[in-house]
Amino acid sequence: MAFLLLAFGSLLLLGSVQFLARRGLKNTLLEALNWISLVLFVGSIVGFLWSDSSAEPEAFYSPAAVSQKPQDTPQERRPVELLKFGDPVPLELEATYWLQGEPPRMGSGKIIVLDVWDQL
Amino acid sequence: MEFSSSLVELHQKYGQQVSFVSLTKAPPETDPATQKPRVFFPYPWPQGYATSEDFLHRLGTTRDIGNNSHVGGFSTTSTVYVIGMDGRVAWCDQRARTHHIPPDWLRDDLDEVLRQLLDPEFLAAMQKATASPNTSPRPQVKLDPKRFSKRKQFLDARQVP
Repeated sequence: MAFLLLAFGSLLLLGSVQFLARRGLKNTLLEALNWISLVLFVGSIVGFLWSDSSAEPEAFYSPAAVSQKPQDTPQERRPVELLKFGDPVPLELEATYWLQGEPPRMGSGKIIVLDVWDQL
Repeated sequence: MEFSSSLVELHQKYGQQVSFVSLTKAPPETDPATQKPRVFFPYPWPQGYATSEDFLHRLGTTRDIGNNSHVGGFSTTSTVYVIGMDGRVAWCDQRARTHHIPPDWLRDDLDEVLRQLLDPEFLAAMQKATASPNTSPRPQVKLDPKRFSKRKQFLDARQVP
């Protein structure tokens, strides 16, 4: 907002100087004011554009954006049902990487301890 | 004692007769020297990494944690299954680690389960049940409630089945 006021003020000053110059009034002070107002005007426009682009996105704080966020999502819902006694397990375990050897195949006549773990 | 130590201990005890395998949704670590994937834990058995959500869901070991994009929408519930020779679930720890069951209790349970499963009488009953499932019921391991009274009290207090 300050940059816009500065731009408006410098534009007024520039206009006044140009008006006086057209009326035939020419001296060193007017010449200096002409350049100063021109620099101020360009500078204030650049400043306004820079401050606008670096500001936080308005939607981040707007009530509309907040209301669109999931309000009632619980952090942890109930787990899915565990396999029960007698349930079949997929014959082949799936993973993107197998290290320390190949996985055993289910139902191949050997008891298997399957440890499913999560990163803590 | 960490449960991982208990697993290694049980592997040393039963590893000749029982296969151990670990599975996780986490990707493996990368060895900085070789840039190859390496295991998190030095278990002497096959370890699967970066398992899909779909597969873990089929195993019943996921839980939905909502739409929180920071954690990816689901997490794994650490679970131990013992799979019988017929490829069916023989025992499950009921997510004991999630319920913070002391690791030595879980080790004792698993030890007893494996001992029973490898018992010659149990093996004979299992073979019979596999051969004629309509007439012979599948044998089930039984944990003595007196022996595991502490665990039972702990689980009852938490209303865990």
